[in-house]
Amino acid sequence: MGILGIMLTDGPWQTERWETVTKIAESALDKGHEVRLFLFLDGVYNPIKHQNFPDFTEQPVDSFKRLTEKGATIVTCGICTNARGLQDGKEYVDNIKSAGLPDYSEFLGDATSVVTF
Amino acid sequence: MASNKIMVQFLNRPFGTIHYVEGLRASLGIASGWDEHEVYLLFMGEGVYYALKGVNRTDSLKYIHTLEKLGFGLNVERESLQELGIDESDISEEFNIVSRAEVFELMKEQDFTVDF
Repeated sequence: MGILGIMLTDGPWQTERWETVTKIAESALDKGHEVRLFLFLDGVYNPIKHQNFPDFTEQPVDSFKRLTEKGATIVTCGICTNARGLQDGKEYVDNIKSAGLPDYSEFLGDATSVVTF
Repeated sequence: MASNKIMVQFLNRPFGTIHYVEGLRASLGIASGWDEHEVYLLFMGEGVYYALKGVNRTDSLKYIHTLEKLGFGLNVERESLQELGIDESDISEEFNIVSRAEVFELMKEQDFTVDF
């Protein structure tokens, strides 16, 4: 089994990249692969708690939460997080780590395959 | 962990988005981490506008200089310039112009590509 690295640079409310990412990640987890997500740029908005768009039966953040529950590692770029006033991700759902560029380097060093969205 | 060859592609315009500066910052992180990955910086598609003479690179200059000190230069794809009607004489001298065929060969050598 491999380690799938996914980098996401887009937020949850303008495009559907988050949906593509979470579905690919969940499929990989279900097949027994390890999944690591690195959220960059506006991608750091995805795991914030309390997001709600009434038209959606499932909110984007719920998909990210489910990924962590299934064992995915999700890391956000700390500089991107703080640049957006997210205070080291204190409003994130559980088990999301706000990290630095050495973690990004490690993310690329550990992965078997990497895809970017 | 492993030391990998990673091509960082800059596909977005340097105006209207901040992908260029974040991509360069990420590239520095990739190159200077424990793994000491090897990065190849390539501007292609609309990302080539960053390579024009006279572009204000103030926000990203420190990353470029450090990457250069680490031995990683800036590259821009020739065919992208042609597709956007940009003359090669308008490209800043810090950039090395490479053909799409060369890019294709380089891509085959990489472990990963990431894009900004």
